[in-house]
Amino acid sequence: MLKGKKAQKKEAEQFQESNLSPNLLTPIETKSFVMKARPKIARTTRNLVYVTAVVFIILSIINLVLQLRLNAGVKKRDDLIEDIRRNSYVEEQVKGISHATKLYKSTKAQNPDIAPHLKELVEILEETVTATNIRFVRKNNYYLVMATSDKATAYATMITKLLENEYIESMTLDLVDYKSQSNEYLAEFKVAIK
Amino acid sequence: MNEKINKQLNAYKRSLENKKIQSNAYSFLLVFTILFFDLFALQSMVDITVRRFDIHESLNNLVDDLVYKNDSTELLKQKLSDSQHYLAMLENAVPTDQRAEDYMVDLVQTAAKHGYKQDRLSRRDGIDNYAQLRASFQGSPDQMEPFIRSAEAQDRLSVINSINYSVVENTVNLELGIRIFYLDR
Repeated sequence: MLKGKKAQKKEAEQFQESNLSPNLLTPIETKSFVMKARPKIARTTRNLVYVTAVVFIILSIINLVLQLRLNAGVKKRDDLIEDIRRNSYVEEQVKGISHATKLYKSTKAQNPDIAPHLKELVEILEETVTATNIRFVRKNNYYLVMATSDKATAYATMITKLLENEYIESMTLDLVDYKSQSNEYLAEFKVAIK
Repeated sequence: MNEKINKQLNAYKRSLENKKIQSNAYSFLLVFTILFFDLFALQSMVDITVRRFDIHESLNNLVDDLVYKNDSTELLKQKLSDSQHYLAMLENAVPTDQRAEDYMVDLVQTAAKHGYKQDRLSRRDGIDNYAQLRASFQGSPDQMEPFIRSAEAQDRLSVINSINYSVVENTVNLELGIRIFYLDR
Protein backbone atom coordinates (compact mmCIF):
# COMPACT_ATOMS: atom_id res chain seq x y z
CA MET A 1 0.00 0.00 0.00
CA LEU A 2 2.91 2.26 1.06
CA LYS A 3 4.77 1.28 -2.04
CA GLY A 4 1.67 2.01 -4.09
CA LYS A 5 1.48 5.55 -2.69
CA LYS A 6 5.16 6.17 -3.35
CA ALA A 7 4.80 4.87 -6.84
CA GLN A 8 1.76 7.07 -7.42
CA LYS A 9 3.68 10.11 -6.13
CA LYS A 10 6.63 9.38 -8.35
CA GLU A 11 4.33 8.93 -11.29
CA ALA A 12 2.62 12.26 -10.56
CA GLU A 13 6.00 14.03 -10.36
CA GLN A 14 7.13 12.50 -13.62
CA PHE A 15 3.86 13.59 -15.22
CA GLN A 16 4.37 17.13 -13.94
CA GLU A 17 7.98 17.17 -15.08
CA SER A 18 7.05 15.92 -18.49
CA ASN A 19 4.42 18.63 -18.78
CA LEU A 20 6.77 21.36 -17.59
CA SER A 21 9.98 20.14 -19.21
CA PRO A 22 11.57 21.85 -22.27
CA ASN A 23 9.93 19.11 -24.27
CA LEU A 24 6.72 21.00 -23.90
CA LEU A 25 7.43 22.16 -27.45
CA THR A 26 6.48 19.65 -30.07
CA PRO A 27 9.25 18.41 -32.40
CA ILE A 28 7.90 20.57 -35.27
CA GLU A 29 7.93 23.62 -33.06
CA THR A 30 11.49 22.81 -31.97
CA LYS A 31 12.59 22.65 -35.63
CA SER A 32 11.03 25.99 -36.43
CA PHE A 33 12.45 27.51 -33.29
CA VAL A 34 15.03 29.52 -35.21
CA MET A 35 12.36 30.65 -37.64
CA LYS A 36 10.38 32.01 -34.76
CA ALA A 37 13.35 33.45 -32.91
CA ARG A 38 15.15 35.10 -35.88
CA PRO A 39 12.84 34.81 -38.88
CA LYS A 40 14.76 37.31 -41.09
CA ILE A 41 18.15 35.73 -40.55
CA ALA A 42 16.68 32.29 -40.96
CA ARG A 43 14.96 33.23 -44.22
CA THR A 44 18.07 34.92 -45.56
CA THR A 45 20.19 31.96 -44.54
CA ARG A 46 17.79 29.54 -46.14
CA ASN A 47 17.72 31.56 -49.38
CA LEU A 48 21.49 31.78 -49.33
CA VAL A 49 21.72 28.03 -48.90
CA TYR A 50 19.32 27.50 -51.80
CA VAL A 51 21.15 29.91 -54.07
CA THR A 52 24.52 28.44 -53.13
CA ALA A 53 23.28 24.92 -53.65
CA VAL A 54 21.73 25.80 -57.03
CA VAL A 55 24.89 27.61 -58.19
CA PHE A 56 27.02 24.74 -56.95
CA ILE A 57 24.86 22.17 -58.72
CA ILE A 58 24.85 24.18 -61.95
CA LEU A 59 28.62 24.61 -61.81
CA SER A 60 29.05 20.92 -61.03
CA ILE A 61 26.90 19.95 -64.02
CA ILE A 62 28.81 22.35 -66.30
CA ASN A 63 32.09 20.97 -64.98
CA LEU A 64 30.95 17.42 -65.50
CA VAL A 65 29.84 18.13 -69.07
CA LEU A 66 33.08 19.99 -69.79
CA GLN A 67 35.11 17.15 -68.30
CA LEU A 68 33.29 14.61 -70.45
CA ARG A 69 33.86 16.75 -73.55
CA LEU A 70 37.50 17.24 -72.60
CA ASN A 71 37.98 13.49 -72.21
CA ALA A 72 36.40 12.92 -75.61
CA GLY A 73 38.53 15.70 -77.13
CA VAL A 74 41.74 14.29 -75.64
CA LYS A 75 40.93 10.85 -76.98
CA LYS A 76 40.20 12.28 -80.43
CA ARG A 77 43.43 14.31 -80.30
CA ASP A 78 45.46 11.23 -79.36
CA ASP A 79 43.87 9.21 -82.17
CA LEU A 80 44.60 11.97 -84.69
CA ILE A 81 48.20 12.34 -83.51
CA GLU A 82 48.65 8.60 -83.85
CA ASP A 83 47.22 8.70 -87.40
CA ILE A 84 49.42 11.64 -88.35
CA ARG A 85 52.48 9.94 -86.84
CA ARG A 86 51.69 6.79 -88.79
CA ASN A 87 51.55 8.87 -92.00
CA SER A 88 54.59 11.02 -91.19
CA TYR A 89 56.54 9.35 -94.02
CA VAL A 90 54.09 10.99 -96.47
CA GLU A 91 55.16 14.44 -95.29
CA GLU A 92 58.84 13.51 -95.61
CA GLN A 93 58.25 12.10 -99.07
CA VAL A 94 56.35 15.20 -100.19
CA LYS A 95 59.13 17.44 -98.83
CA GLY A 96 61.64 15.40 -100.81
CA ILE A 97 59.52 15.71 -103.95
CA SER A 98 59.15 19.43 -103.42
CA HIS A 99 62.92 19.87 -102.99
CA ALA A 100 63.66 17.70 -106.00
CA THR A 101 61.17 19.56 -108.20
CA LYS A 102 62.47 22.96 -107.08
CA LEU A 103 66.06 21.86 -107.66
CA TYR A 104 65.20 20.50 -111.10
CA LYS A 105 63.32 23.62 -112.17
CA SER A 106 65.86 26.10 -110.81
CA THR A 107 68.82 24.18 -112.25
CA LYS A 108 67.22 23.93 -115.67
CA ALA A 109 66.18 27.59 -115.58
CA GLN A 110 69.64 28.82 -114.56
CA ASN A 111 71.52 26.47 -116.88
CA PRO A 112 69.79 26.24 -120.23
CA ASP A 113 70.96 23.53 -122.63
CA ILE A 114 74.08 24.18 -124.67
CA ALA A 115 73.08 21.97 -127.59
CA PRO A 116 70.81 24.47 -129.44
CA HIS A 117 73.38 27.26 -129.74
CA LEU A 118 76.27 24.84 -130.14
CA LYS A 119 74.46 23.34 -133.10
CA GLU A 120 73.97 26.77 -134.70
CA LEU A 121 77.60 27.74 -134.07
CA VAL A 122 79.01 24.47 -135.44
CA GLU A 123 76.83 24.74 -138.57
CA ILE A 124 78.03 28.27 -139.30
CA LEU A 125 81.65 27.34 -138.66
CA GLU A 126 81.40 24.25 -140.88
CA GLU A 127 79.92 26.33 -143.71
CA THR A 128 82.58 29.01 -143.62
CA VAL A 129 85.84 28.06 -141.85
CA THR A 130 87.57 25.10 -140.22
CA ALA A 131 87.26 25.15 -136.44
CA THR A 132 90.29 23.73 -134.69
CA ASN A 133 89.33 24.49 -131.14
CA ILE A 134 86.08 25.46 -129.43
CA ARG A 135 85.92 26.23 -125.74
CA PHE A 136 82.87 27.04 -123.74
CA VAL A 137 82.64 27.83 -120.04
CA ARG A 138 79.10 28.33 -118.82
CA LYS A 139 79.80 31.08 -116.30
CA ASN A 140 81.51 33.17 -119.05
CA ASN A 141 78.63 32.49 -121.44
CA TYR A 142 80.74 32.78 -124.57
CA TYR A 143 82.54 30.45 -126.94
CA LEU A 144 86.23 30.93 -127.57
CA VAL A 145 86.87 29.66 -131.07
CA MET A 146 90.09 29.09 -132.99
CA ALA A 147 89.64 28.56 -136.71
CA THR A 148 91.60 28.46 -139.94
CA SER A 149 90.63 29.35 -143.48
CA ASP A 150 92.47 29.88 -146.71
CA LYS A 151 90.23 32.82 -147.59
CA ALA A 152 89.94 35.99 -145.56
CA THR A 153 86.47 36.57 -146.97
CA ALA A 154 85.31 33.37 -145.26
CA TYR A 155 85.66 35.20 -141.96
CA ALA A 156 83.54 38.04 -143.22
CA THR A 157 80.82 35.59 -144.23
CA MET A 158 81.15 33.82 -140.89
CA ILE A 159 80.82 37.07 -138.94
CA THR A 160 77.75 38.09 -140.92
CA LYS A 161 76.08 34.72 -140.33
CA LEU A 162 76.99 34.69 -136.65
CA LEU A 163 75.54 38.13 -136.04
CA GLU A 164 72.34 37.21 -137.90
CA ASN A 165 71.81 34.19 -135.63
CA GLU A 166 69.11 34.40 -132.94
CA TYR A 167 71.23 32.76 -130.22
CA ILE A 168 74.26 34.98 -130.63
CA GLU A 169 74.56 38.23 -128.77
CA SER A 170 77.86 39.53 -130.10
CA MET A 171 81.12 38.51 -131.61
CA THR A 172 84.65 39.76 -130.86
CA LEU A 173 87.50 39.07 -133.18
CA ASP A 174 90.60 38.80 -130.98
CA LEU A 175 93.24 37.79 -133.45
CA VAL A 176 93.68 37.13 -137.16
CA ASP A 177 97.04 35.87 -138.32
CA TYR A 178 98.14 35.05 -141.82
CA LYS A 179 100.52 32.08 -142.15
CA SER A 180 102.32 32.39 -145.42
CA GLN A 181 103.82 28.90 -145.18
CA SER A 182 100.47 27.19 -145.23
CA ASN A 183 98.70 30.07 -146.96
CA GLU A 184 95.93 30.23 -144.45
CA TYR A 185 94.40 32.68 -142.03
CA LEU A 186 94.35 31.72 -138.41
CA ALA A 187 91.69 33.49 -136.32
CA GLU A 188 90.73 33.57 -132.66
CA PHE A 189 87.39 35.07 -131.64
CA LYS A 190 84.75 35.11 -128.94
CA VAL A 191 81.11 34.46 -129.62
CA ALA A 192 78.84 35.68 -126.80
CA ILE A 193 75.55 33.89 -126.28
CA LYS A 194 72.28 35.61 -125.41
CA MET B 1 4.18 22.60 -4.94
CA ASN B 2 4.01 26.13 -6.48
CA GLU B 3 7.57 26.75 -5.49
CA LYS B 4 8.58 23.59 -7.26
CA ILE B 5 6.68 24.60 -10.38
CA ASN B 6 8.28 28.05 -10.27
CA LYS B 7 11.66 26.44 -10.03
CA GLN B 8 10.94 24.29 -12.96
CA LEU B 9 9.61 27.26 -14.93
CA ASN B 10 12.75 29.25 -14.16
CA ALA B 11 14.87 26.31 -15.21
CA TYR B 12 12.89 26.07 -18.41
CA LYS B 13 13.27 29.81 -19.05
CA ARG B 14 17.02 29.55 -18.55
CA SER B 15 17.07 26.62 -20.87
CA LEU B 16 15.20 28.67 -23.49
CA GLU B 17 17.67 31.55 -23.06
CA ASN B 18 20.55 29.16 -23.53
CA LYS B 19 18.92 27.71 -26.62
CA LYS B 20 18.39 31.20 -28.02
CA ILE B 21 22.07 32.00 -27.55
CA GLN B 22 23.01 28.68 -29.07
CA SER B 23 20.61 29.31 -31.92
CA ASN B 24 22.17 32.73 -32.60
CA ALA B 25 25.62 31.21 -32.49
CA TYR B 26 24.65 28.42 -34.84
CA SER B 27 22.92 30.88 -37.19
CA PHE B 28 25.99 33.07 -37.25
CA LEU B 29 28.20 30.03 -37.83
CA LEU B 30 25.94 28.83 -40.61
CA VAL B 31 25.80 32.19 -42.35
CA PHE B 32 29.54 32.57 -41.97
CA THR B 33 30.13 29.10 -43.39
CA ILE B 34 27.86 29.76 -46.35
CA LEU B 35 29.49 33.10 -47.10
CA PHE B 36 32.92 31.56 -46.70
CA PHE B 37 31.90 28.77 -49.07
CA ASP B 38 30.48 31.31 -51.54
CA LEU B 39 33.60 33.41 -51.38
CA PHE B 40 36.21 30.71 -51.75
CA ALA B 41 34.73 27.41 -52.82
CA LEU B 42 32.31 28.80 -55.39
CA GLN B 43 34.88 31.32 -56.58
CA SER B 44 37.41 28.51 -57.07
CA MET B 45 34.82 26.43 -58.82
CA VAL B 46 33.92 29.29 -61.15
CA ASP B 47 37.64 29.77 -61.89
CA ILE B 48 38.08 26.07 -62.56
CA THR B 49 35.02 26.05 -64.82
CA VAL B 50 36.27 29.07 -66.78
CA ARG B 51 39.75 27.52 -67.10
CA ARG B 52 38.26 24.23 -68.16
CA PHE B 53 36.13 26.03 -70.74
CA ASP B 54 39.25 27.75 -72.11
CA ILE B 55 41.07 24.42 -72.26
CA HIS B 56 38.06 22.96 -74.03
CA GLU B 57 38.15 25.77 -76.62
CA SER B 58 41.90 25.33 -77.15
CA LEU B 59 41.48 21.57 -77.44
CA ASN B 60 38.70 22.04 -80.00
CA ASN B 61 40.93 24.33 -82.06
CA LEU B 62 43.79 21.86 -81.80
CA VAL B 63 41.55 18.97 -82.83
CA ASP B 64 40.28 21.04 -85.80
CA ASP B 65 43.86 21.73 -86.89
CA LEU B 66 44.79 18.08 -86.47
CA VAL B 67 41.74 16.98 -88.47
CA TYR B 68 42.75 19.38 -91.25
CA LYS B 69 46.34 18.11 -91.16
CA ASN B 70 45.21 14.50 -91.10
CA ASP B 71 42.83 15.05 -94.04
CA SER B 72 45.59 16.79 -95.99
CA THR B 73 48.00 13.95 -95.24
CA GLU B 74 45.44 11.37 -96.35
CA LEU B 75 44.88 13.33 -99.58
CA LEU B 76 48.63 13.52 -100.16
CA LYS B 77 48.96 9.82 -99.46
CA GLN B 78 46.29 9.10 -102.05
CA LYS B 79 47.95 11.39 -104.61
CA LEU B 80 51.35 9.84 -103.94
CA SER B 81 50.03 6.34 -104.51
CA ASP B 82 48.41 7.57 -107.76
CA SER B 83 51.66 9.04 -109.05
CA GLN B 84 54.18 6.31 -108.29
CA HIS B 85 55.24 6.19 -111.94
CA TYR B 86 56.20 9.88 -111.97
CA LEU B 87 57.87 9.57 -108.58
CA ALA B 88 60.13 6.85 -109.97
CA MET B 89 61.02 9.18 -112.85
CA LEU B 90 61.74 12.01 -110.43
CA GLU B 91 63.89 9.69 -108.32
CA ASN B 92 65.88 8.84 -111.46
CA ALA B 93 66.28 12.52 -112.32
CA VAL B 94 67.16 13.73 -108.83
CA PRO B 95 68.24 10.78 -106.67
CA THR B 96 68.76 10.99 -102.95
CA ASP B 97 72.43 10.02 -103.27
CA GLN B 98 75.13 10.77 -105.85
CA ARG B 99 74.86 7.63 -108.01
CA ALA B 100 77.70 9.06 -110.08
CA GLU B 101 78.67 5.62 -111.35
CA ASP B 102 75.22 5.09 -112.86
CA TYR B 103 75.46 8.43 -114.64
CA MET B 104 78.99 7.65 -115.90
CA VAL B 105 77.80 4.35 -117.35
CA ASP B 106 74.87 6.09 -119.08
CA LEU B 107 77.18 8.82 -120.43
CA VAL B 108 79.69 6.32 -121.85
CA GLN B 109 76.83 4.37 -123.44
CA THR B 110 75.45 7.57 -124.98
CA ALA B 111 78.93 8.46 -126.27
CA ALA B 112 79.28 5.00 -127.78
CA LYS B 113 75.96 5.42 -129.63
CA HIS B 114 77.45 8.47 -131.36
CA GLY B 115 80.78 6.78 -132.10
CA TYR B 116 82.65 8.48 -129.30
CA LYS B 117 85.18 6.54 -127.31
CA GLN B 118 85.81 7.32 -123.69
CA ASP B 119 89.30 8.52 -122.96
CA ARG B 120 89.35 9.73 -119.34
CA LEU B 121 86.70 9.95 -116.67
CA SER B 122 87.13 11.45 -113.21
CA ARG B 123 84.83 12.54 -110.41
CA ARG B 124 85.11 15.23 -107.77
CA ASP B 125 82.54 16.02 -105.08
CA GLY B 126 81.06 19.49 -105.32
CA ILE B 127 80.64 21.76 -102.34
CA ASP B 128 76.87 21.69 -102.65
CA ASN B 129 74.41 19.04 -103.72
CA TYR B 130 76.25 18.04 -106.86
CA ALA B 131 79.26 16.03 -108.02
CA GLN B 132 81.60 17.21 -110.75
CA LEU B 133 82.70 14.95 -113.56
CA ARG B 134 85.39 15.49 -116.13
CA ALA B 135 85.15 13.26 -119.14
CA SER B 136 87.23 13.08 -122.30
CA PHE B 137 86.07 11.44 -125.50
CA GLN B 138 87.37 10.91 -128.98
CA GLY B 139 85.18 10.73 -132.02
CA SER B 140 84.18 12.29 -135.32
CA PRO B 141 83.39 16.03 -135.69
CA ASP B 142 79.96 15.53 -137.27
CA GLN B 143 78.66 13.57 -134.24
CA MET B 144 79.85 16.08 -131.65
CA GLU B 145 76.70 18.18 -131.51
CA PRO B 146 74.28 15.17 -131.47
CA PHE B 147 76.34 13.63 -128.67
CA ILE B 148 76.16 16.83 -126.61
CA ARG B 149 72.39 16.97 -127.23
CA SER B 150 71.95 13.36 -126.10
CA ALA B 151 74.13 13.95 -123.03
CA GLU B 152 71.97 16.91 -122.04
CA ALA B 153 68.76 14.96 -122.68
CA GLN B 154 69.59 12.23 -120.17
CA ASP B 155 67.05 11.49 -117.45
CA ARG B 156 69.46 12.45 -114.70
CA LEU B 157 69.52 16.15 -113.77
CA SER B 158 72.90 17.27 -115.08
CA VAL B 159 74.49 20.39 -116.49
CA ILE B 160 77.33 20.54 -118.98
CA ASN B 161 79.42 23.26 -117.47
CA SER B 162 82.30 23.41 -119.91
CA ILE B 163 83.27 22.10 -123.32
CA ASN B 164 86.70 21.90 -124.80
CA TYR B 165 86.61 20.76 -128.39
CA SER B 166 89.70 20.36 -130.49
CA VAL B 167 90.29 18.69 -133.83
CA VAL B 168 93.51 16.92 -134.68
CA GLU B 169 93.63 15.13 -138.04
CA ASN B 170 89.88 14.85 -138.31
CA THR B 171 89.61 13.33 -134.85
CA VAL B 172 87.78 15.28 -132.21
CA ASN B 173 89.05 15.43 -128.66
CA LEU B 174 86.11 16.45 -126.59
CA GLU B 175 86.46 17.27 -122.91
CA LEU B 176 83.30 17.87 -120.94
CA GLY B 177 82.89 19.31 -117.46
CA ILE B 178 79.60 18.05 -116.04
CA ARG B 179 77.72 18.61 -112.83
CA ILE B 180 75.31 15.93 -111.67
CA PHE B 181 72.82 16.89 -109.00
CA TYR B 182 71.26 14.93 -106.16
CA LEU B 183 69.18 15.67 -103.09
CA ASP B 184 71.45 16.46 -100.19
CA ARG B 185 69.44 15.51 -97.07
